[in-house]
Amino acid sequence: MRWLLALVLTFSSLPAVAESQFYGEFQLGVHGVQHSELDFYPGFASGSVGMYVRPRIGVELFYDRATSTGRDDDFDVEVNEASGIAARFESPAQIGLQAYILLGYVTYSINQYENLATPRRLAKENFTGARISLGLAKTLQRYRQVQFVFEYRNYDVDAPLRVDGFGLGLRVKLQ
Amino acid sequence: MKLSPVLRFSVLAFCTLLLSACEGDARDLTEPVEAGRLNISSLQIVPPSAAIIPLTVNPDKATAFTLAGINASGQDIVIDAANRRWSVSNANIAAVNENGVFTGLQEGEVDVYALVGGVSAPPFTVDVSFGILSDIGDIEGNMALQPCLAQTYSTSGVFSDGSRRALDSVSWSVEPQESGTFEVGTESGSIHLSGTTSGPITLTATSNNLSGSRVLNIDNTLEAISLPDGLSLAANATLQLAAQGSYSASGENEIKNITDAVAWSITQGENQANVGNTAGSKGLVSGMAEGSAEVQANCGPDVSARTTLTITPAVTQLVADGGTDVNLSVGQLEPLRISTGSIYDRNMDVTRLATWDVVGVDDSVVSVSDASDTKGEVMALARGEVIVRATYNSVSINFTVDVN
Repeated sequence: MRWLLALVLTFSSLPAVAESQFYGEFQLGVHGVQHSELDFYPGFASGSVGMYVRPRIGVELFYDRATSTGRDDDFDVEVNEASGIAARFESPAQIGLQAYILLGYVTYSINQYENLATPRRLAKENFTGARISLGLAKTLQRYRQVQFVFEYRNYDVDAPLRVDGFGLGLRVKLQ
Repeated sequence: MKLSPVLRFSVLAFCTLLLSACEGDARDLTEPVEAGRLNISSLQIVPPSAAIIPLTVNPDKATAFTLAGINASGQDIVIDAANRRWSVSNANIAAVNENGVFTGLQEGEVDVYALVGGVSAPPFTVDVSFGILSDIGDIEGNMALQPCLAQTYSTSGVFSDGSRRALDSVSWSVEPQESGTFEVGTESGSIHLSGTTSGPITLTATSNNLSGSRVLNIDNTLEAISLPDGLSLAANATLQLAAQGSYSASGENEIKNITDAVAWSITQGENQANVGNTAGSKGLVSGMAEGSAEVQANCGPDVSARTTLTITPAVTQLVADGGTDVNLSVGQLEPLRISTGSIYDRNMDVTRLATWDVVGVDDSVVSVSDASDTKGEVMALARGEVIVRATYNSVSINFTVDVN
């Protein structure tokens, strides 16, 4: 419900923007999932689309999908799916480099497979909460509409679970 | 930068979302790991100790359940009952929180469930029924007591709905008072009773101004008490005495340790020593000054024993037999010996009474035994030099052990 509320409120602001600039982004990365003194590093692919509603302020929708599981002890873990909405705040560009922060609200699911159980047992849990991402974007010299991005993301989740991740990707700005 | 009202509202909405609490239950992920580590094969819901099965509780009465588990090897394992998936079969009749605290809401029968890491416990049935205490149930336990051998007695409540339930608070009394002593048991409504004087006694349990009594008999089976003799201890030392009771029942003699049940006292030499007579210190003699002291252990007025202790001067230093520098070869076993006094004296040897250890965390060079029959035996394991320490009555002596 809160997700829907944010979506409606955000996109209701779009008419106020005279010169919108759309962008899309694709990332590959690794999540870090820690609990019970176990560390898992499952892979993910992430895509997002958004638009700038003010100079250097954007609103975007994102969707992540697991690309691999992480293994520790007798367990495999993946952040199966994650989707949500985020507000983007970027710094002014300096020598083609920009820092940014994403304040998002995300719903995601974690799958945990117990390999020694017969049959292999799956524990699946859905989570919702804030996701904060910090990143650096470097504009490519040859393709000025394209940025190379490096991002760290942290999910707000109660202890003893901890979820974060790193991603590398490309962002394309569309007039 | 001036933001439009809609944009400001959007930013506010985002902030609200970010500040909102996260949702999701990590137990789905952590419990399978815990269950795997504990190797849980079965799980059981455990009612409060002394609870009477079938368990009946009043509405609004909180009852704390715990969990017990068995691993794949058939061993009992400890499972924390807090922060688990507890549930009830009918939420209109009762509620149970994540820590296993059950509360009846209205009358009816309800099953309690618990789940840990995919392992579920068989349901535990609770009858929620309103009842008030109408009588004290029978006092349960053996009819006959042997002097100074504690036995457990317990009682329960009979309620107006016909159910029997454990009692939260019971006060106990014995008549005649000098015939028995008791301490409250670990379970609600139970005591450990020790009789001292042979003959009948009346044990009474009282709760909510209701009482129930039972006449018991203390048999005349304790023939004698024996204490060790020829003992000595230093003026700043302690010594635990043990009292052995010799019982004769049905023509057979039995010796039993009754240290914790007899009454201990100093009959002579109160300035030289004292002896503990409370739970946890019964029979523990503390030397105070050089001389002698007579210690008595008695079970009632008729059976007692006495022993005389020699109190030697306080230990101020320890001395090693052969000096404190020890050279060993790898694989060599060497017994170290110490005594009190200024030179080693076999008659004052306290090797077996001392505590032995290796100073520091490096235990790879030597091992030193602190087991009762091999105390002070050093085994050279690898080349190096370590300090081996012996401590007796808070006085220590260090050996420098060099292994080549």
